[in-house]
Amino acid sequence: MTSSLLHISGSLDWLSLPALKVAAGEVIALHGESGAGKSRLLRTLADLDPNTLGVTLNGTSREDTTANQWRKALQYLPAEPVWWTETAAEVIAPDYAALASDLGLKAQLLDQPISRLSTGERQRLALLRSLSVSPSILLLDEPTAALDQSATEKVEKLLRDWVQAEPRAIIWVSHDAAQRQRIATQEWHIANGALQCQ
Amino acid sequence: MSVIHLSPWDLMLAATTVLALAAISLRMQLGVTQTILIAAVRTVLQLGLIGLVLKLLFESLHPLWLVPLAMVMLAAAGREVMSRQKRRLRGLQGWLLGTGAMFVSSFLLTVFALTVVIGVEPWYKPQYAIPLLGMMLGNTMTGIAVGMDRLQNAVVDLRPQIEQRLMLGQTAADAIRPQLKEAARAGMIPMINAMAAAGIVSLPGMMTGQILAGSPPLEAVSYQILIMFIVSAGTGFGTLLALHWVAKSLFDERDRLRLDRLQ
Repeated sequence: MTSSLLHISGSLDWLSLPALKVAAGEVIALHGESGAGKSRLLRTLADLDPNTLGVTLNGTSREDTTANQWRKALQYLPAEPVWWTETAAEVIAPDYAALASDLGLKAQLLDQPISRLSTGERQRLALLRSLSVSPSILLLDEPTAALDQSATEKVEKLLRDWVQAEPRAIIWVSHDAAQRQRIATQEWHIANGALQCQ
Repeated sequence: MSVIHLSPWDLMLAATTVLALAAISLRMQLGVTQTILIAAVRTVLQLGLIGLVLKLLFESLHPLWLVPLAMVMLAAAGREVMSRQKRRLRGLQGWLLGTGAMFVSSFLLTVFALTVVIGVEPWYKPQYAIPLLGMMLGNTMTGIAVGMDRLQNAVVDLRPQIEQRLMLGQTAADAIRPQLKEAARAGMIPMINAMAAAGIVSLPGMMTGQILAGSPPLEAVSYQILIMFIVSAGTGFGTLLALHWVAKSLFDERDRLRLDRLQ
């Protein structure tokens, strides 16, 4: 399969999973009960915890890539992103800062102290920060949890355009069945220590 | 000019001050009475013992007996470094890191001071080597312990931030750099402050001792400056080395933050 972008094989001691393939342009909705291991799986794909998975991106295995290049390529956006800079502008590349208005954010928010921004504003800025490291795969942990309907739709639209623009894919943790309907090309479900494709 | 001899009776008079302090803390129920008394007894026993060892070493033993003595001092300092850390690296590694950094920095600088600066003949003459090494170890020990403790606490407290930096593609070295700098500063600042305050706020113990023992003040001052320099440099280099090793041990070959390596 030449169109397949991401291959996941091997096993984990806390989750049984089949060999998984993600093609370019796909948006995988990942769901399951709280504590089922969704975030842990995203952490594992970003290689933040010791694990025995075999993962290849574009035919190159994880072990043949430096750790920091791998994490740039498989960009994990946690549910509670951490900021260490004073303003968002310091860590968001100008090309992506320009997308702020597409997400319903005023441009001047980028230069404001992060501590003064709302959770929803921070969440969208964190998405732009993640996009600015030019990933191939986005691993999103409930990226719209703090957003209202209109902002959620803007985020979905931006990510749909993003994933189509180049050979890219998204694995998206979402608790919202309606959202999964809107965005997903494939669904993965985690229950009782096992991941199943639906 | 010779020193006025201190008799055991004189020391007992001095001990009454500590006993008075112990009595008052008992009355105030500070919960440190026992600690004060044990510490005071330890001072007498430990210093008495080292006095006998040094007397033996200076008068009748081959000077190379200083090697095992130095090793004992190093091991004790290494143990002290470990006991001052809240979260240590598991296993032997943490002890090796702290002790190794202390060994490299304090032994190298002591030998440098003995051979190049003072020019003692032979360079391992115990009258010079032991006091210098003792001062080096005592100070590097503090710097290394403070630095390691600070760094290890910081990675636990700031784990989300460090991992966020990793997620955004920073290398382990970049991700931990702010905490490393902070810890290095914390380890070095006491020594820097001591250099800055020397002579104005405080008369350093070694110089005071030499003057009490009858050395000309300017001679004592020269030695004190030498000590200040090598002790500061030794503390600084030792702290940097230990922190570099600790930072490396906190990540694995895939730049993952491995807090499971801390106790």
